[in-house]
Amino acid sequence: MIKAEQLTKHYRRLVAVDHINLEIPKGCVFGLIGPNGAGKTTLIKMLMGLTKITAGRGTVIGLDASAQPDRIHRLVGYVPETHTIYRWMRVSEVIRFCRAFRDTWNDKLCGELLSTFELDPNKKVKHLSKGTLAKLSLLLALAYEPEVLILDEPTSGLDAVVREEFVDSLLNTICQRECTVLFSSHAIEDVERIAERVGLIFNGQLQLDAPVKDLLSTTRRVRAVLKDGCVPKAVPEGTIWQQIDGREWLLTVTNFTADTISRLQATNSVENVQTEEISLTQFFKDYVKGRKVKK
Amino acid sequence: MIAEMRMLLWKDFRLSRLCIIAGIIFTIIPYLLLIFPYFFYYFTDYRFETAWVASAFVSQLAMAFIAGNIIACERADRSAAFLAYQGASRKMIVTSKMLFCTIVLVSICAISFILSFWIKLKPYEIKEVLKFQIFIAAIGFCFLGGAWLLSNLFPSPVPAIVFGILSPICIFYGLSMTAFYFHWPVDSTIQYWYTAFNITAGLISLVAGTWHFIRSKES
Repeated sequence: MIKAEQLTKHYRRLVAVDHINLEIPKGCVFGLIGPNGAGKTTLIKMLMGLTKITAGRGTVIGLDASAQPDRIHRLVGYVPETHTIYRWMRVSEVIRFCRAFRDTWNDKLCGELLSTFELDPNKKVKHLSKGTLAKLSLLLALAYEPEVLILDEPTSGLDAVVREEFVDSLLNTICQRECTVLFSSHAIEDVERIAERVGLIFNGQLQLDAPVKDLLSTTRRVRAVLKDGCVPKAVPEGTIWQQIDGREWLLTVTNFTADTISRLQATNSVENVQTEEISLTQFFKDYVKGRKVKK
Repeated sequence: MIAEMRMLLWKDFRLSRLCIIAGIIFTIIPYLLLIFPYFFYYFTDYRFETAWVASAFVSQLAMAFIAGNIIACERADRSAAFLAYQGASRKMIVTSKMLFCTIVLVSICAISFILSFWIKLKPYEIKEVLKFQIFIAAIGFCFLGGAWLLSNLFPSPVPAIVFGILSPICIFYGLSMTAFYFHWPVDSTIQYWYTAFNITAGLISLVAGTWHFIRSKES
């Protein structure tokens, strides 16, 4: 449904997106995470045909993002990071305006979403709060029942309650229809809640693309106590981050198996080893911290 | 297609509402000034004709305001990005904007032409009225072209409006200087040249601006 082949974007000397390959099949909910400036928005904008592609190819529903951006815009529901809807329009006017461009607009669904999101059709967009504006943006993206939804940090700047409402609405839509979703967010807990698969972008490169369940089930936080006066000798394979604080040695290890601990104990002078599961948020933090140390 | 174009035209009309109001005010002001005959005592016989000429000219300024605003203001408040992902092609968007500007330009000229009947210009003057109308429309077209071009290039409408207004003035001075240095006879041919230059400059700016608009992406 969504495909990136060697997708690259240069802003003069800056490489914003670096040869990204990505394939999101039909019905998949894909979460895109990464630190600020990693290239998430640029990747999404390239796939949406909203920014020029330097090299490579991006396709959505089989449509080339460079050659047929207008077709993509008509068929894909898109919620951007900043909601730049005409501020002078009323909610009803925005709906009427967007409706004209969508052949598959569903008035019934639109009405339902209006009441679900508690949107006042007579209110002007400039008088809407940030959360309500995000909901209006989501309504405009959902009301024509697109096959593909692309959301670029739609919950950024929203408070916890509104964010939860937004994510709930999104989850409802995903559950009701077989919709392919590409969702980028800084709120990793939202991605963990919604996404089946997650991609991690760092420095414009897709570092990781894996099912969320598999990733978290094979990643462990390892807490080892080093013997007096000893230092770590061999770091286990798959370690994305480590920290030594006195005798305490903390590691985050991917592709964790039962062997990992025995090998750690065999190659290092450690007394006590404990492991615990980690959340996607913790994984993300450790990954980014680990990469920064490597750099 | 028709529904889309209708919505785009409605949106452009709403965006340019203030400019249209300004245009109406520009059209009316010279006539309103007649309320104070004291300021016009020296016009006596031709005061309505003078007001008509002033109104026809000043109302064209609305073109600079409308064309200067029509692209840049959407970029300034970033609503152009919203429009970009609605599925309207760049060609459709630019066509609606151009169509809207043309409607306004024709309306301004039509109003001025109708007013010429209202003030009862003598029948033999109708040909002159038409000539003058074309001359004024050319200036309006130059206002439009200049403002349109810069509206495409800058995210603020101010430079576009200023450039739009300055374009016919610069052409006028350029032509005057050329006429002076080459000792051209000062007769009605200068007016034809001025009209031709304004139309050419307006057309070139309009084409260049449109080309830039179609090629660029909003994000």
